[in-house]
Amino acid sequence: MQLPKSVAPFIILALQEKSMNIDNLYDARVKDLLLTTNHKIPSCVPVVSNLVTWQVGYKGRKLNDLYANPDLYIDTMSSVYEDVYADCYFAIGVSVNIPAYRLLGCNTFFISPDGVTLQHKQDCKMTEDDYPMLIKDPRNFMINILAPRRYPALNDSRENVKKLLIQVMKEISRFSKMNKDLNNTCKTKYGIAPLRSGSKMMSPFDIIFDRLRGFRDTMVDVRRHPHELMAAVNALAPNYYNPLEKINSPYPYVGATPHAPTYLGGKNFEKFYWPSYSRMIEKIAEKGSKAMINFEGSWKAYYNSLMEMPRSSIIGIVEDDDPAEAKKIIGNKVTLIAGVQAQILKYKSKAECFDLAKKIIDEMSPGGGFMFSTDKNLLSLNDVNPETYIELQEFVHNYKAY
Amino acid sequence: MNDYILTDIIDELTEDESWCEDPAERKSLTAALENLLITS
Repeated sequence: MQLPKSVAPFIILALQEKSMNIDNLYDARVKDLLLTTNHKIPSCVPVVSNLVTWQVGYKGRKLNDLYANPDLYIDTMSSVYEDVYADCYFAIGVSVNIPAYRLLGCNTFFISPDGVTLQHKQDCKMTEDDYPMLIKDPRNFMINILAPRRYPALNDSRENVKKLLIQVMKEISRFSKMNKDLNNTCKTKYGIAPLRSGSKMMSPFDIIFDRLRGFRDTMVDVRRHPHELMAAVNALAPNYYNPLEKINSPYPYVGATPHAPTYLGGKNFEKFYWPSYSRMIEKIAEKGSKAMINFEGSWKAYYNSLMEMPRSSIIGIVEDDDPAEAKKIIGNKVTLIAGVQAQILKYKSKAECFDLAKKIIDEMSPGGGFMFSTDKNLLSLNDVNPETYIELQEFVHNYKAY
Repeated sequence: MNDYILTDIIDELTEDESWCEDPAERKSLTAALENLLITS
């Protein structure tokens, strides 16, 4: 449709102003993030979006269709912000490339029967007898020995495997572009800022725990093979230190999702986990950025260790611990992200959720170093009462400016 | 037992411009491939 000549300039001007406002909004949000994560006072408490696949259910769509259609993927993942208030997000879209895993004949990641959420079934192929090979040459072991055990499609001729790997990399490239375009849409259309950069802080212990030996066998190895386990952590560590050297910007932050700590307990955490982990946090701080760590389960037993780190070098997402207690003990050094738990947002009334949010903000916001979010990623539409969640995000934004 | 060494193929693909002309992109994609191979 052609616009009348007299109207077109006003519409173009309005669009330019809107675009300029979005840029300003984005910049203001980033400024607030930098202030609060340096324990300075932002203009208001940043409200975080913790959505992963929740919006797929909210829009009544299916994940398989989104993987196949970049436009639909970007629309589904971003347009939710027309209804949900957020200043920033942990991650946008999905990080698991299901089509690439399918090419490799691997089904450990899969889409749930609801067509909306992703699941992972642990299927670790390393045995206790493999430790010497892992310690001697981690890359050789993980790629040449372990990958063919995991991926049936790699058990083929050299020529076919080479063709397959090119296909997988083309899929990786396509999927990466989808996520870059999605991030860009969130920035330019909604002015929402990412919290995490592309860099990740990977714990060598978690690599063994999540991907090589698995939950059960790693916990057995802690008792029965402590020397081999320690040697394996030390052999893997350089692979995960080196990428941190490339950090060249204070923001966005370096994300980390440690899984093992909540199961380890203080003594084993100090022995197996903390030495390499603390070194990575210090390296990120030296590079001028911050480690954004999901304190999965409870991290209360590790508050003393966290207090050893430089001030404002860590952003911690509180899950099962009491946020107010965390604020009192580590809040002067660690930026905390906390809020109303998803479980409460599902069952309690709006008024009860708003009262709880007020209490949390009043306790946590003094002095900066605080952002508001649900405790867990929202995956399925029914993880929360959608109406309560949407109204709460807006309420928190309007509740209190500094 | 396979008749190839997977890391040799990956190293070869990092150098091989027949499937991707940009060397930086090739390096980034083979690194992402290795990461994917250890993450399931």
